[in-house]
Amino acid sequence: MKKDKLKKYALRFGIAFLIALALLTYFSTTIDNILLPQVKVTEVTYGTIDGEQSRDDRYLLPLSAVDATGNTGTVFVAKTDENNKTTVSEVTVDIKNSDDLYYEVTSDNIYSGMEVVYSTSKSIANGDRVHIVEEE
Amino acid sequence: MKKTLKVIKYIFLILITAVFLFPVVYMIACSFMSDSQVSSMLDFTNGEYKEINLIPEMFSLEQYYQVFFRRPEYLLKFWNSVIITFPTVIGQVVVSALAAFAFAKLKFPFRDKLFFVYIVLLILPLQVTLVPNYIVLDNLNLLNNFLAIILPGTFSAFGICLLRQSIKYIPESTIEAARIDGASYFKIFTNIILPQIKGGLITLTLLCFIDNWNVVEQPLIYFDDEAMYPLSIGLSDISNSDYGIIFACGVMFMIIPLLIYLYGQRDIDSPFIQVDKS
Repeated sequence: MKKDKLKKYALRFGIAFLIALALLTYFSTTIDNILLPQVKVTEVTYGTIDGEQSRDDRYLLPLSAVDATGNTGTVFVAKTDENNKTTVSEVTVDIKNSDDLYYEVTSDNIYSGMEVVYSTSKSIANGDRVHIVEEE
Repeated sequence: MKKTLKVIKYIFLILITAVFLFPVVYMIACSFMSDSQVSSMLDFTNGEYKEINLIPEMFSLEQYYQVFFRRPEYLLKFWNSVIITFPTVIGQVVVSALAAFAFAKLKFPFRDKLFFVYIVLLILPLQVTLVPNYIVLDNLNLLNNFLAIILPGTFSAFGICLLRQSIKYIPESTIEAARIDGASYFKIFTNIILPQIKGGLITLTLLCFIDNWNVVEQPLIYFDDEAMYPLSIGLSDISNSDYGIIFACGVMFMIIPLLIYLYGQRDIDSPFIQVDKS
């Protein structure tokens, strides 16, 4: 009698366990995206604040994208791989100029068209996976 | 004197049990530790592990959180194990029961010689048949397909030998009586043979399940795509740096066989052949 109960519970628990795992697997991408830091990105644009030509390659980045300390700063560049997973890497930039909206920077690791993070829901670090939120 | 001997016997048995249970207890304990504690404990840089600790410094469900919510690849590997194991077990039990019935109770030419061939197949180690199987599967275009493991597993000789021994003990007179009453062989098989070899079927199910649940060699050889690997390969990948996650996966991997054992425990404990004494 006791063993029959055990049998019943084992079967029930087994079915419940498999159903739970099936649901977790089915919604794994959704759950993963919800739990990842939600970031907003913008494209790096080539140019200068005053519109004049410069001898070196200069880029314009939003103020919120750069964590500035003096004349240098760091930005997070978002890269999406072939599996559609996005990771961020930290890049150092030299700040040359700024106004109310942009920093004018130079860097060997930045080029026009790259996506930099300018807003994030949680703090992020180099190599972290993130989920890019589309601009409304 | 008798009492002392009994105490010594119990101490010895407890020690043996502890030795056998230690890996399981260690795995469960490590699955509740933080990743940093597991990593520092299993630091092998100086040629030896630093310590073996069964008590978590800080109880943590981080490893389970990672496995169930953040690392879907382990869940997918778990389902690969299910996809490989369940059809193989069902197939093997069905094929073995039918073939064993034929080998034990039906009379046809070369029956015993054919069974001898099966015994030879049973003796052959798995590694010997891997390459011939690979060639056959390649010709059938079944490489990189779960059927590459399911099909050879379904027609395994082990189950046939095991169940033939059970069926052999069923009295011939029972089958003859059923035949006189007009029962077909299929009816005899389903109504007389199967109920009496329940214990054998459960034992075969468990052994076959464990055999396929822990499969390692075949997927490594038959599958090029790592996404098709079952969880058993993920767990045996000791070069993996995610030690904590591996322990949590180990616990997850252990649950299904444990439940199957609990489900079939009574039938395994009962006599192998359930002869109706009435």
